[in-house]
Amino acid sequence: MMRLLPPFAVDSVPGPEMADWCQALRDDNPIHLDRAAAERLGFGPYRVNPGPANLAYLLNMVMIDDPDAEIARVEASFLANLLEGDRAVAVGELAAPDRVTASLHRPRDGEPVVTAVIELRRPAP
Amino acid sequence: MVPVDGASSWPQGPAATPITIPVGRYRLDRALDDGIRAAARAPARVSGDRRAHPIFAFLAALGGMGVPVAELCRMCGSSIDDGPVLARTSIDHGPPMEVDRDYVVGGEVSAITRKPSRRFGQADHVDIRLHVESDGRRFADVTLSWIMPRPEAA
Repeated sequence: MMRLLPPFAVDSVPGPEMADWCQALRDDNPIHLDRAAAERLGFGPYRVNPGPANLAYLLNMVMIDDPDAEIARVEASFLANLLEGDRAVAVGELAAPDRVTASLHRPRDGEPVVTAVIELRRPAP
Repeated sequence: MVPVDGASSWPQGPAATPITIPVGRYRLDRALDDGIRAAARAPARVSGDRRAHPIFAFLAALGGMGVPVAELCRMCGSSIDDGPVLARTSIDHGPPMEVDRDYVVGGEVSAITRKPSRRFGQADHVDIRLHVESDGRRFADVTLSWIMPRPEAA
């Protein structure tokens, strides 16, 4: 049982909306909010997308592929960062009836940003 | 248990664990779900469906702690101004998170391990466990590992 999911892409990671994530998380980490702070901390002059936003892109891919499925479990590793303006592409495969292996990539260098195993459950009809 | 303001007692090494995270609340309303869906470029919530975007299991866990992230960093002997980054998470979902609902969040810092870091020189790897409940039902168990830079220890 293996099926590729349709990829989900974000053409340009939005900088201003990182503040919305920070508000929802009550997280004032300056790397998400202030280009100067991000540069001072070694990320270059670009705000850094919050990790949960990157994970949400993977969940979007799963939700769009199977809107009736519920997320049962997520195991995710955050390997690199997306910066504002980056393009991001989520890819995945249904490795078992209730398990998706997924990863988020940044095409500018091909680096994986997040890898995840997402387990699903389907509510009884 | 270690008192929540105990971080300043360990200026040299990592803070002792476990550290209890004060219980807090998280209000997940429709506008918040709408805003995060827009920011994530996610599909809009279907009319009449109260299910929030599943990332809210994580957002509510962190955002609903009894202290904001900056204070949690301080409790762990670090500073949010040093730019902590998320390393790993596992999320066990109960029923789908719903809009127009209040959640209660509790948890602890279960371990802090200091390691060399290519980017930061030295960093504390901080393991955290959080749980999200509403009306006595468990909606999510979240564990996460955060890398908190400790430049002064390098």
